[in-house]
Amino acid sequence: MSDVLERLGEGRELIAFRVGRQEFCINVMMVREIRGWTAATTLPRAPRYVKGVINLRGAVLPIVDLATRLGMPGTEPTARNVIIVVQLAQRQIGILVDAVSDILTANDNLIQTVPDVTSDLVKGFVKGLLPMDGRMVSLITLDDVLPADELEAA
Amino acid sequence: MRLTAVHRSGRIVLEVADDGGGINRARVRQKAIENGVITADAQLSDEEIDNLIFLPGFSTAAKVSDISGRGVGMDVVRQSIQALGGRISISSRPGQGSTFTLSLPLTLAVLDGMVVSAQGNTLIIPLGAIMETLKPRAKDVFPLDGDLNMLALRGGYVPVVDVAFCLGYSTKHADPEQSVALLVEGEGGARAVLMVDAIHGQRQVVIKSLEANYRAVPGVAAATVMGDGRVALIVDVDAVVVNAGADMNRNSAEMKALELSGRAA
Repeated sequence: MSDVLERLGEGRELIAFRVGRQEFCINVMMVREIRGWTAATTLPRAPRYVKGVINLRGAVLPIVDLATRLGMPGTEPTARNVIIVVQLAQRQIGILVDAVSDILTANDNLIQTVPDVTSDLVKGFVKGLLPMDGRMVSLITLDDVLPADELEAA
Repeated sequence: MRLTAVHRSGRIVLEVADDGGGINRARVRQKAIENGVITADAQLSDEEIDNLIFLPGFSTAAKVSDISGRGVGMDVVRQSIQALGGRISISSRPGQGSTFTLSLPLTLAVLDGMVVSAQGNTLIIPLGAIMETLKPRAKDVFPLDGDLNMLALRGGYVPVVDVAFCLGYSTKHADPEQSVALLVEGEGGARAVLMVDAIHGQRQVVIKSLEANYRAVPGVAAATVMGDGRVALIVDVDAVVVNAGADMNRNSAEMKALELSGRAA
């Protein structure tokens, strides 16, 4: 959990969004922009959670359906869905979510560790839980959201 | 020494040719046996012997000078080219000289392409690879080994690549009667017939990298942005031609590997 917290930086501002019935949040500093859904071009030989690529002002941006990635039923995107464009190291990718809810301000004490009962997939992504006005918001890391590079050679 | 540079199906191909003695295969082979790279009874084709010179620490020079003889040069050349996503090959004829062919990808460039569609997906096929377009007749298509079809073309047979099937857009082969065929030639001169649903015309497209934000996709050379703002993929003709027929199994194995890695992550 500490690595995620370190990257939260000074403000500790998190952007919360909804996927299915769950709420998640990521560091607001990772977010480059938020935009509506546009039809993606399907990529051959991509895992199911990669929806395809869209044109983001001339750059080719892969779109990951976070619901499928986290093992939930996939999103059938409509114009109401939202793509959060995030910066991951040298890459920019789009995360398809249902809706962005709000910006949360959190401090370390508030973030609770994830109990040891969750599935491996959730464990790989969810780094902490935040109680917020009676909601439970999961703090997630997006580092492993894209398929691993090693498979390129396959 | 002769240097040529050509633009071939989305790649820059540089050829460095000399008219010297060619590669002394007997000597390369003997050296490889001495170094323990191959066994004395190994059966190697001429091409395989030529490729031995790329091995690190491989040199046939009897004497090490200030600039050569340590067996570093060709190894470095190959590694640098591979780091750029390129390929290098040798063709050598004793007494007539050797040709080194360096093929490098174009990162940012404009490409003449044919806009086609396959199962509702718009794709670009590099114009440089296309020899001709034709309308196949069902009676000219012959099955060979399960998923591989051959098309009879002016007395010869050319493997058929169903583009939608090969890229995984469709799970069954399209009806040849309803398709348009493009005869393409890969880098090595291998030919194949690409089956698509329709040809929409010719266009210059700007090559956009898929790797920058995603990763390399087998069968796809790069992407581009079309007039309507959507992304279209540029077909890697060489990869598609080489894998003609072998794709079905590769596809499913790869998909499974990807899905598994996704679950494990």
